[in-house]
Amino acid sequence: MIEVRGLSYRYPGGERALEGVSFAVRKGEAFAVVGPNGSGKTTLLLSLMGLLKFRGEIRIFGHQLNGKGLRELRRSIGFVFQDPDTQLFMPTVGEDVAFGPQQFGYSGDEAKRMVKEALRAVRMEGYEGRFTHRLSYGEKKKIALATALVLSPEILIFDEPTSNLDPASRREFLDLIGGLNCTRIFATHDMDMVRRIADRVLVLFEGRKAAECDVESLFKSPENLRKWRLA
Amino acid sequence: MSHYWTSDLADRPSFFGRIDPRLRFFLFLSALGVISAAGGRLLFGATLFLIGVMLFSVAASAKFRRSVLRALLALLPFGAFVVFLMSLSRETGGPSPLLRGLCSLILIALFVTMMGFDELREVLRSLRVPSIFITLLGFVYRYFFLFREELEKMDMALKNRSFSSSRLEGWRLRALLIGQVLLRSYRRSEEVYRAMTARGYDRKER
Ligand SMILES: Nc1ncnc2c1ncn2[C@@H]1O[C@H](COP(=O)(O)OP(=O)(O)O)[C@@H](O)[C@H]1O
Ligand SMILES: [Mg+2]
Repeated sequence: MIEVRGLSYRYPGGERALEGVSFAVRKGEAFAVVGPNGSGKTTLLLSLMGLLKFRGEIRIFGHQLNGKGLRELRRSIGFVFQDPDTQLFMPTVGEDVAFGPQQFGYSGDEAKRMVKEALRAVRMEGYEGRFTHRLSYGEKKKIALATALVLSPEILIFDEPTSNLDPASRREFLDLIGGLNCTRIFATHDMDMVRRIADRVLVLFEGRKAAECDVESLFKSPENLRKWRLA
Repeated sequence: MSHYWTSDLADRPSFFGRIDPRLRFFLFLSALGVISAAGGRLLFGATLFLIGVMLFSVAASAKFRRSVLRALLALLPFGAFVVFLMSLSRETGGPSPLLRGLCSLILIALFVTMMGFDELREVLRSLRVPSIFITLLGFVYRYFFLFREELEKMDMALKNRSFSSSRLEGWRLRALLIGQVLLRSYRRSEEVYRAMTARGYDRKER
């Protein structure tokens, strides 16, 4: 479903963030990208969304990810940013969730219905009129998920979905993610989350691929986990 | 754009709530016009009138009292700054810059308590103001709070770590701090742009 070959990226004026990373994600699986801080997880996710000018090749649904058809492709991929204050840029929840549908030309009524549906999916019914800046962090995070769910994407990408959440919000959020049945890719160093909902894992270390395997084999070798600063 | 106004109307007094928002907006604009054009007696009259309106509405509702006072307090530093700027300008004519400043201050305080952000956008929309301006206004509103929060956080960090009691040093650090906050805001704006692009935005108004 997603094939990545030789992905490299260097931030302008910075050092290399990714170097020759290759992997594949299968349809319907929960795919974890793990690695310590600064290992390139966020950069990798942004590349998958076509938001960076990377070197290498990314194919999604068999289509090469480049200038043409990028917008159509993005419609079937939802992205949940790490910081919900980045993701939620409209004054009210309703307008924010409706932003995606509006960009893709849905009428006001249709958009409203989709917003309602998405808010129900994250158990935040009736929040349409709320001002974003008055929500708690956990609520913002759920609304951010709603903005990604609203277009019924086939692929959902999460950057550090559990960071900064209190234990109860974390559990709620994990239940939400675990309950979805689209293809999910998430970057994290929350190894408990990996154990609970991931099917397969890509380990990044200093911008390179250190391993790609299923979850059981990852946890079989504690010395590797320590080496990659994951334990 | 779809509209979702329901909340944040809580502390709007019902007395002004009954006036059509468009009319309120026009009243505000024309009052602003009068204040900036008038001089001498007219300005004096306008000040008295505004103070009257304010006293009347404050007497009429306790809720209003709280919100208008809050608005005034928030605006006061800004108002002082404006008055200071005006006193630098060439205009010398006794008390009129001061009166003008006071008038605008009261007027704005009245306006923000009388008119919710949602209503304001509704009015601008019905006046056919290009939607890009309204969207921008929305961004400003959304990120104003974040900006303030960031400033407060950095100020706190500064207070926690600075031991020197020199006032000059304090101001020097504050200037650095503001630079930092601006940098952060710049970074934030890049990220927000990415988030918009990820959701299908391609620089076309829809
Ligand atoms: N906007 C940026 N400009 C320059 N360098 C960056 C930028 N963002 C990230 N980097 C660098 O790229 C590397 C990978 O960062 P990132 O993908 O954010 O890692 P992770 O998400 O795994 O913590 C780090 O060394 C980081 O310092
Ligand atoms: Mg990251």
